Amino acid sequence: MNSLSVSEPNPLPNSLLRKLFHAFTGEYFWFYILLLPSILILVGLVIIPMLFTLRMSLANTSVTVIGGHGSLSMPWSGINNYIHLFQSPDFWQSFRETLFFWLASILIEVTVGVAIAVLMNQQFLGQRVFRIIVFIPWAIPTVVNSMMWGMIMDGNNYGALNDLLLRMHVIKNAIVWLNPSALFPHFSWLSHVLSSLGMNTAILSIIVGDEWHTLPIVVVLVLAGLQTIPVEYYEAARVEGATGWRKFRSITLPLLGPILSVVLILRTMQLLRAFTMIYTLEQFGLPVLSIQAYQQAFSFGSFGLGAATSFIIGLVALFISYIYIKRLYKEEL
Amino acid sequence: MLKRWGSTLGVAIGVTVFLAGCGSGGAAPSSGSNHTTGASGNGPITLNVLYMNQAGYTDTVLQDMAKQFETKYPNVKIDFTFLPYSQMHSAILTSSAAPTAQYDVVLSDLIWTGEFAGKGYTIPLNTYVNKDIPNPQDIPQSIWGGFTVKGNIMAMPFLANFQNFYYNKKMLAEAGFTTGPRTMSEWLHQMQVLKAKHIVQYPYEDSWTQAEGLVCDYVRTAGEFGNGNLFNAQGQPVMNQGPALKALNWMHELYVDGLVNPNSLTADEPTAADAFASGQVAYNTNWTFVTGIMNTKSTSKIVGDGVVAPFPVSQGTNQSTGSASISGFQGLAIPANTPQDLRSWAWKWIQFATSPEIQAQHLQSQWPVWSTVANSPQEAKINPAYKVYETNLNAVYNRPTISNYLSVSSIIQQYTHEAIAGTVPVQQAADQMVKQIEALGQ
Amino acid sequence: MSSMAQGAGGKQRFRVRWTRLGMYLLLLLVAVWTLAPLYFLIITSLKQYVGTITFPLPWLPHPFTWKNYGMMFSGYQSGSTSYRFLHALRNSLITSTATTVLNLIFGSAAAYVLARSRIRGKNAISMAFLASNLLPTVALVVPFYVFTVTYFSSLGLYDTDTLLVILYTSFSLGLVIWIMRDYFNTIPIDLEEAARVDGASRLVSLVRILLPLTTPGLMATGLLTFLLSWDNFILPLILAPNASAYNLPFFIYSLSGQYLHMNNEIAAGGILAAIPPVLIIVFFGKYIISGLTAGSVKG
Repeated sequence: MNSLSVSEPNPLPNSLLRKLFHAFTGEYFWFYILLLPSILILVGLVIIPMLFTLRMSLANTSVTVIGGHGSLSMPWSGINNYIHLFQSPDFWQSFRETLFFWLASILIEVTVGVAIAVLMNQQFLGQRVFRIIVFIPWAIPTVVNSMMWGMIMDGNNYGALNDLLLRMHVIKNAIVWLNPSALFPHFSWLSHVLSSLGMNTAILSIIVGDEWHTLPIVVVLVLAGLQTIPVEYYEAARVEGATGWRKFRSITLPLLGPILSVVLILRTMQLLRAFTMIYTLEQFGLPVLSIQAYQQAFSFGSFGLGAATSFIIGLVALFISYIYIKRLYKEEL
Repeated sequence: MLKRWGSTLGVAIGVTVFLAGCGSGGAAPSSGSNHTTGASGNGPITLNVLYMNQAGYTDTVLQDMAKQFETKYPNVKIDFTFLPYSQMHSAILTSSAAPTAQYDVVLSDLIWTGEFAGKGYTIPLNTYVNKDIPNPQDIPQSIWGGFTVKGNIMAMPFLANFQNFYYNKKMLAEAGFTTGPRTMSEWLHQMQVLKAKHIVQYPYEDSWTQAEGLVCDYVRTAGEFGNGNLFNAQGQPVMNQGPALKALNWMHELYVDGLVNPNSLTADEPTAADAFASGQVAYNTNWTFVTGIMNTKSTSKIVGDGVVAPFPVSQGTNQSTGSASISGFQGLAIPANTPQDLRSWAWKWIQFATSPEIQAQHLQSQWPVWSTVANSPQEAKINPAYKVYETNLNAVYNRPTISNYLSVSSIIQQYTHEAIAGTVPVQQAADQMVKQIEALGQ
Repeated sequence: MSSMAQGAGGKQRFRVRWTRLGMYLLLLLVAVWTLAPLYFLIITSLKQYVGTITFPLPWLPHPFTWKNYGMMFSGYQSGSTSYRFLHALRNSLITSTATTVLNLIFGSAAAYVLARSRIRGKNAISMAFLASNLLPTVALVVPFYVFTVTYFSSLGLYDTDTLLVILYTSFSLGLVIWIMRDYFNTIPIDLEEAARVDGASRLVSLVRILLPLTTPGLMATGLLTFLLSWDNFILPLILAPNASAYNLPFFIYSLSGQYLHMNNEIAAGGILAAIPPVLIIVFFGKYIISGLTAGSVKG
């Protein structure tokens, strides 16, 4: 039943030497050796830092210079940092923004992303080249992407998007796309919905720029998933007279399930990391949780608060990944 | 198969090791070990200097200074790191906590003085200044004041940055005005006329993105209304009354009336300068670097039309100075973890870079901190507006030098921004600001 | 009868033609959405500064210049743009390559054990790796910083490539293990056992039989790791802000802080930084896709 039980020809006499030899050549020994570096990395660079974050978050942590050497002071302060966070309206605003950013992005990806993939799964001229082109934005480094969208969404007349819309007479005045305190002046229903959620223009603009960068990986993965669906299924459905939408609903979507899970995992881990784009475009103007943690620790020097926020981010991430993992590997758990 | 994989792996490891070797070799000039080489006296000494990407003294100017210094002291090499302003503070903070300083000299902004002094990130320079600066009174007291905490001089003044009032005289002439505004009501009137006559869509742009620049503009505007101090003599925040409240109302109304470009709410100083230099707006209130930008062909479409002026002030106030500005002085400081044996070299560089002789060479870059240089005939020749500069420099307000300044500033930024955009009513935003800052103090 | 059928056929052809036209229009829309920002970035990189603040905005590189690219390579001296660019390029290459190699070695070894062995708690360990991969960088950056500057300050890791490599490795290792484990799972155990019967030890069979079969997986994870490391911004921002260790993304960000927002220079730097990953996607994109989908399609 087990590959380990396969006995090997044994040239050594039955002795202490042999036992020693087996300890070093035995299956388990090598398994552990192979696994060891990764386990060390996991413990040393993920688990211990995570626990240390918890420790710091329960203290009035500060990093100070004494005699030219950095030193750390962590006087216990119980759950004061968490109380402070939960009582602060800023924290909840950040929490809502982070959640909104995540939900809106995922929603766009499973609708627009799947739609584009289905479109690209048709036969058409130049298909191969087209697939490569569509994938390219994903390769652009995130910082480059944010700088680029910063230029496109510049609030002056000479911002590329404003210039385009002004030329086409779609808008009369330049729109300040990245303004975190104001709403779109032109789409009142949208601004209504958003303001009731406490959201702003900037977060929408950033989602658009972020989707340009990340939608391609969704499209490409879903497309790969579509191609694994046997053509016979569709043939059979056609014979039975199913319409396009029916075919999509009862064949495509269910069979895309696993690949959509992968997409969601990948995207969730990237979205919770959505620091780069917001930091480079808004500095601290749009404080999603990750920005807040950074600002608390590295601008204000409140490492305790920064650690508390970080720990909450970590918990949220672990919670989400728990749900996914459970779904993906249910047979193993 | 095995062989192929073995060799591939071997090559990969080889490349990594090689690259890593290059890496540590290349990184050596800034690493701690190099300091000790310098300290032993034989090898060359490398001074790591943290500086900011900015208009005042640009990286080119700094490199020019470094070359002169290296010629004077051939055993010393200056190694610069240039960072954006937004990165400077955390770079100093992170470097401070390292066992050996990453930077032996850092550019310190006025607003960090309190924090650096309180936490001991940088060392007092009093002994150096007393020994090597024969005429400290030649630097205006207002500049020294920005870098002194309880008698300790935390940085040597390097850059006398402050804000000027800029307007486009061609646009004003089109609207029928021969000079810039002298009072706030006059300015408001000019803006209304400029807009009504469709000379510009938005008469004014300022840097009101949620960053330190917004606090500067807020303090300065409060100054224009009579008093730019956001804290009273007892150290209590007073944003919800008097000139500070007037300033907030003014900024909000300009936004509502379309007199200020809405882009101001996402603009930092360079963006606002661009809007002015590209001829999109008629007024800009900005740091001294705009003078150079608006008069340079490669960066400006309004060469010859930009005018530097004193700030308009509310009638009946600021009679003595006739202006109200905001300081953004920068000094050079020595981190507390700079090795002892390098400190004297660090000071030599500071003394050199801040000396009147060197500043006199770069008059077109920056307003000098030394009065004698500022009043020299060369300055008058290079900068026809030098009298205006003097007026504005004499009318500066300082932001408070308190040790938790950045937290306070962050609160001010948030509520000022919301008040201007109108997402929170002005009075309510001001009250919130005061409440939160007071809560911070407890 | 026959004419009716013809008519219906004609209608259908007509409908098919319209559907195809609609499809091409939609595809055009996707192409424009994808390429327009890139076109904008390219023309901006070839403009002189005034060309970026002119209204209406010139849609061609006007006034034209190569200078934005030239300055990345000429005028090399301490602190200059080319100095910073070339250092950042070197650092990006070193850290990304080293991370990739380390990840492949450690990750595939661990993935092999987790796929093949029956050691206790291997599922829990697998899940821990997957979860570690989902943990955002931001959640760990504060302790990393504190460790680096206090407890481990004597190692002098702050602001070094070595530190970045260690941290990048920890962040992408989970992904490598996750993908490679699925690859090992797809390979029939008989193949390996056949080799072992021939007298090969487990290690030898791993290297000789399994690695070649998992080449696509190794390619995919290697390239993914490379791209992830190439893209990292927050770690250099906090832990390696000095020119001696910072990477290309950080360099490009630092260009924006210059006294003017020299969008033309930022665009040029951005395009240079994007070239290696774009080449990877164009030539090896299909490996990455197959790597990412392998596990899920099987599952």
